[in-house]
Amino acid sequence: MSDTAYVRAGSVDDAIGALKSAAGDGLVVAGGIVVGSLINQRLAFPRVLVDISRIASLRRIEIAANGEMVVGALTTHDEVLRSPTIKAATPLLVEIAGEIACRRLRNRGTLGGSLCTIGGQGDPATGLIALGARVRLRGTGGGRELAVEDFYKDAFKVDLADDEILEEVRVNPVSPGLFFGFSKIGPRSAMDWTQITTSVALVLDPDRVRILHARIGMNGVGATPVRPRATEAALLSQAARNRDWRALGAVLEQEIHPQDDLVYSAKFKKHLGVVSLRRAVERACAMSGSA
Amino acid sequence: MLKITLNVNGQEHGLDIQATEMLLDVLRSRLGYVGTNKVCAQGICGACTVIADGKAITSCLALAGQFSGASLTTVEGLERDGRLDPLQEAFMRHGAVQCGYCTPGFLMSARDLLNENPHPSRKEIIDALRGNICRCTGYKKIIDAVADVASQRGPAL
Repeated sequence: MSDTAYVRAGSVDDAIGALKSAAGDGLVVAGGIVVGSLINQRLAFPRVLVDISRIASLRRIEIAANGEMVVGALTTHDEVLRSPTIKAATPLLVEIAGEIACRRLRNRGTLGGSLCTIGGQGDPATGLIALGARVRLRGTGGGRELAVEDFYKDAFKVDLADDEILEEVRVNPVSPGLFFGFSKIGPRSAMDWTQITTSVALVLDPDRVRILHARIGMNGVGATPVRPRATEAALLSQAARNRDWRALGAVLEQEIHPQDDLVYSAKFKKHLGVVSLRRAVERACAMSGSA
Repeated sequence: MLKITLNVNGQEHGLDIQATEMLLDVLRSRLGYVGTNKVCAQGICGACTVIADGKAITSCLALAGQFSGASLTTVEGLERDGRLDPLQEAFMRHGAVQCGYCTPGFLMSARDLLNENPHPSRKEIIDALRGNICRCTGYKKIIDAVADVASQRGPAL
């Protein structure tokens, strides 16, 4: 028998108050997929479940006064897929959402849940890193904002205090001249956990020959989502045509640290990392017409 | 204990549950809707798919407390006035059932698709069923059955 308490939070303040009272023994429930899975596997025995799914303020999708797009943590992957606002501002996030699991899980799984609980195995984190997005957190001590890549500490560990929740993601809409690509590699096309996922966002010069700015988000190549900065820098020195993938691959392989698992060896993952980066970059350039 | 209400296939139920109980277990063990099947309990296989407030969901990973007040349709609710859903008829016609364990989940995922898009393409059908696993049929007959219903013109199916 379970003696877990259930708090249906009506507001963010309710939720963080309940988490503070639970003193580290509370578990936030958004869409419930990961929490359900942990409970079914007897991997979580929370004293308090804090259900945030009915907090309306966490569902907004809007362009803020400063031009940023704000996507509430409770936005489901299905809502991302259907949102005209997100499609106009950051089509990359829509493309990524379409590749997540399946309809029945996209209907419940939330953006915030993905970032907080399976960041290292979720696809949205990679797109948000490539787009330079930030997460907005709120706890009893107030609010703070972090770059998505700085939110991750270690496998399944995020920079979130016991009494904090992720309220929303903030991202600048893409401007003309920004090109993006996404590549996901796994044993199957459907219902697969992320093995290797790469998102890139590139700014090209007006002649579309040189890459002026590059941001990369990757998953499956370490314990957390990563932003391989040396590889970003290496891309800038390359012409958009005839890139030296041997040299770029060597840089990437130096800065990613995948682990062996039951499916792939670390060595093979490094190779897949390079393949996936190359595909994502080529897709971005194909979009720009320069590849 | 947690008090919840559920509307299942048009019938209201009020019950007391544990905070950690999943909707699937509430449906099967407390309310007797055993058409919804439990297999992996990990969200992978899709056998437990039901429709909640108009959307297909994974009932094995659905904390029942989150669904208080929701309207659910399970496979038992597909039959109307003694007539099977056109999808059920098509599954029989096409031999889309072998052991049958996955069938309720496939029917609910397909129903969810057709409710939104009555005439999907074969590609859209395949995408909508990608979260359901069948280890007998090889999928072709299931997809054929859904495509058959999808190709029927006329009023809402």
